[in-house]
Amino acid sequence: MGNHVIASLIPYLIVAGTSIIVMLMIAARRMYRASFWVTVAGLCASLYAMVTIQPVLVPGGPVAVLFAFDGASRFMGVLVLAVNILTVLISYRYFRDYQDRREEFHLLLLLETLGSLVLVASAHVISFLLGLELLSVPLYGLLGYLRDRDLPFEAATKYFVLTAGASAIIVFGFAIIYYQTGTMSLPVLAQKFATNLDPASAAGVALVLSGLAFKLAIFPFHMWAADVYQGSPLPSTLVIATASKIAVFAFLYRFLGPLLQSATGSHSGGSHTVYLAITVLAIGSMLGGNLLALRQTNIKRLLAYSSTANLGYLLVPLAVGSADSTRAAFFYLAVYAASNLGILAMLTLFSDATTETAELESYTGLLYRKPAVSFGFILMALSLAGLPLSAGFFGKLFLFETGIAGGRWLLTSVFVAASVIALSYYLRLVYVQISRREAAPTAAEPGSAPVLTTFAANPGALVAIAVAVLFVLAIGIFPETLLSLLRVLLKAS
Amino acid sequence: MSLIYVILLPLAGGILAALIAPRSRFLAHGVMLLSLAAMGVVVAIDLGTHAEAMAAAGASAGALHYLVEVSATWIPSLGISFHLGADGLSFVLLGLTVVLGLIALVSSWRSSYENEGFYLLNIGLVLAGVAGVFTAADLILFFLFWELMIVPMYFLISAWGGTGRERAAMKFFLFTQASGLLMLLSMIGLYLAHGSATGTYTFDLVSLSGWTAGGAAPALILFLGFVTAFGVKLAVVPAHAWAPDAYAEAPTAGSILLSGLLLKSGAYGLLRFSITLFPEEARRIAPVMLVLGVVTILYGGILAIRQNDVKRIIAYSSIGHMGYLTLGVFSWTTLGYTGAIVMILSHGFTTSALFFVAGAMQDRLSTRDIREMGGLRKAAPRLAGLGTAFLIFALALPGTGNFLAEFLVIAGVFQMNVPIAVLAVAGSILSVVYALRAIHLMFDGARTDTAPVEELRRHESIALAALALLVLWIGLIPGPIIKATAPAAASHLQSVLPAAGQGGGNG
Repeated sequence: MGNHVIASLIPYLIVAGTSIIVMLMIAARRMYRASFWVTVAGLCASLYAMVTIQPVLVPGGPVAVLFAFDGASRFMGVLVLAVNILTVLISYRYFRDYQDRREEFHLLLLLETLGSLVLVASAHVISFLLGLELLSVPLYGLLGYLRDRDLPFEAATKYFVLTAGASAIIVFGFAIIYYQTGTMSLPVLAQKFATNLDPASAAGVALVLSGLAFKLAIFPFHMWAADVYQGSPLPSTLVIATASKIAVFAFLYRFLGPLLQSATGSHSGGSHTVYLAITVLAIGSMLGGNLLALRQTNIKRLLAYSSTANLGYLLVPLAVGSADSTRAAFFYLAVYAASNLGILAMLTLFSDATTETAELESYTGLLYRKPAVSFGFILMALSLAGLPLSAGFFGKLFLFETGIAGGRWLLTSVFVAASVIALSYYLRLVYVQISRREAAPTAAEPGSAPVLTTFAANPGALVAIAVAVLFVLAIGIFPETLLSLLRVLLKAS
Repeated sequence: MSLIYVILLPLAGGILAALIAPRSRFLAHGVMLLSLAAMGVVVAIDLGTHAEAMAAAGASAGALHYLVEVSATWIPSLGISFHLGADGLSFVLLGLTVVLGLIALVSSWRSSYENEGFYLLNIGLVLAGVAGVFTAADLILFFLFWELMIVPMYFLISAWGGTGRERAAMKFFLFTQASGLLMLLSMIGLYLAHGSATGTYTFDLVSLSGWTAGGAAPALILFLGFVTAFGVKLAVVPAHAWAPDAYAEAPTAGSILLSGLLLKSGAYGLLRFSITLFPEEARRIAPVMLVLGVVTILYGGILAIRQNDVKRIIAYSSIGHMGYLTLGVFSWTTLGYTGAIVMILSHGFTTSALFFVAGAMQDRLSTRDIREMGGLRKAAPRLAGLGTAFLIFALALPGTGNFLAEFLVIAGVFQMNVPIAVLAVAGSILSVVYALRAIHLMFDGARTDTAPVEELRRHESIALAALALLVLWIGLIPGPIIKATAPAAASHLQSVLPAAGQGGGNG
């Protein structure tokens, strides 16, 4: 192992090292603030390293077999790290007054970050499985972190049982694939499948795909999402809504992207089967997710179904399989993450470990009480809805463009129809804020949403909101910056 | 550069007003007013400097002939540029924007709204969006402004609207947004077709204009995407379902902007985008559009007669008038186009005045039901007098711009299709019925309620009188408009557009 290999691994090593330090600190003495700062510092250092260090790998070397440190993995890595840093910032105030153990949250978050980073860069089944478990196992803890409550416990249990099943299905799928092809290297697999996908391997791919769809809450594997979103503490919801989705989606792209890459726009043999499967999943997610989101009254549940729909949108460029579409997908993923992060951070301004304000009704008339916060909230909702001057518009525009350019008329039309359906519930997010409460509901009235009273001054959340708002606005006005960055980064791969 | 100011001024005014409003309501309105006045000055200066060029452009039968342009690269990797351009038509419509912006502002002067800062901000945003729509010369930029005017309008309806505001606002938004997305798909389709055929991938209107996509079928589909979006905005039957609710539930200023400007952006879109980009397809689809236009006239007229809500009467009357506009655009005659452009102006002034009066009455009487009104002529003579005047204008009294517009349109259609023209004439009889019915019920008769009715304030009377003069000016001295449009009677449609602007310049 040369020095350059070590250098390429530095961002990952920093996160791993930080998690050990935090663990030792907890063992020595519980210091919430100190472990918070160590976590933040570690993640920031890793982010810095991820941005600055140009990874070089010897092709065929021991690391290059397991990992691909290319532009895609760096871009996704930066996203994962940024999202996790903001999550830690938000979590500080959120858990500050929690009476039970608080420091382990940082430890679990660091491990989850490491898992996500490994997943994003994995080029081999073994590294993928390692990353997947490193992501999933801390997530159980994160989701059920408020273990004395019913809802978080339910969320964690549900996620644990279902996602463990999904992991088993993935492993089974890869076992079949290995039995058939004798290789676990993803690039080699993609090459083999492109020419010939035998029925057994196809079954393996189908199993892996359904397992991944499970983790991404893609229709029809989405049933867990709403309950888990709703039950989990907000910082953990953030992780499952952003970091874990980014990581698993990045892997999905690495696994199936090369297979579906086609210059002519037509697929033959094996790739056609996979293409059909992706198309069905995409259409189901776009329509199913949006239709289910229509009737939600809880913002977290609404976001859960909205993320199902958004992941459906993200499958469209995968099915298109052109260089442009890959760029569009990465662009949209970043926008999706920023918008979701913004909205969930917004909720933490009104919630902490003891109280949660996630009912839509509670935000009635927010604009008139907290204009600045509400503007951010509205901007995020409009970005998710894909309206101009927000990053979401260009995200959707690029997806439409590549969809039509690739001749995927069916997918693109469903995408447009789904976007229109989605508008009506994103608009409700906006409407409650600008409508005035007709009459103050009595607290005793059963079933009425709690009035928005708590306004926890959460500086971390304010930072996160500011970052999200700036990102969404800046990319909404100058999308070329992100686009050309992606062009440079994705050229190598 | 002046075009950038035209867009930035209302935007800046709105933002400033929003910041000032919590401290001083008066100052906030003043800032907004000043920014609109400044916008008017910029437009007037541009008109003055380019008056001769405009006349010259009218004579040369070229495609788009912009008098003022701003261009900067924006998203080069997708061929999207920040390209603004204005010709005579754009300037006339910018003038309309300024006038109606001022009227909208005056209409809400008296009644104090809650959260006026946000209210003024939305008005500023709508006006900036409308100004952008009238000047955008890049398809994506156009779409961006198109949305920029829809979103704040949604806010205006849903925050300050009547009792059915949530539903009305949602309906308005979903209709326009769904059709807008179809237009966006068409834009992308055109972009890709043009790119793969010529090698240059661009969204620029000037480069794309006149170029029709390869085969006939895809071009027709792309064209229909544009027409759907503009048709929904114009509220042409069968895409009108959002309009009556939105008009009726919007606050007065919202109704004014909606009917006076947003509707006209649909007309502008038809002229500037659909027909410029797809002249062949537009010609082919014209018979269908003529039928839709006349159906819209009859439908709007018949439903206007049956309404008791004063705002709904105006709404359906407005829908009917947009039928004439559609006829004019698709009559494919110089007379018809001239009529359509006159209609844009005079209908903009008349309808916003009517909504102004309706809003004033609603404020004073707390009802919009015309059966509960009556006898206002004694109680508030100025209000009743101006209201009557505008209702009579709306039924196209000879001498008004409305009459001229309807006359030109029908004369144009008559050359192309006699049955359609006859039906359109029948439609204008309907407008007599509903206008007279409204006048009778609202202003005449005995007043049951003896409570005094507040008369129009001075600034309200002045605003309405100014609008009345504008409508009469267009109708009585149509010379400039007709003269400006007549030389452009060249066979090609595009030559008509730049010249049309000259006449209504002072608007």
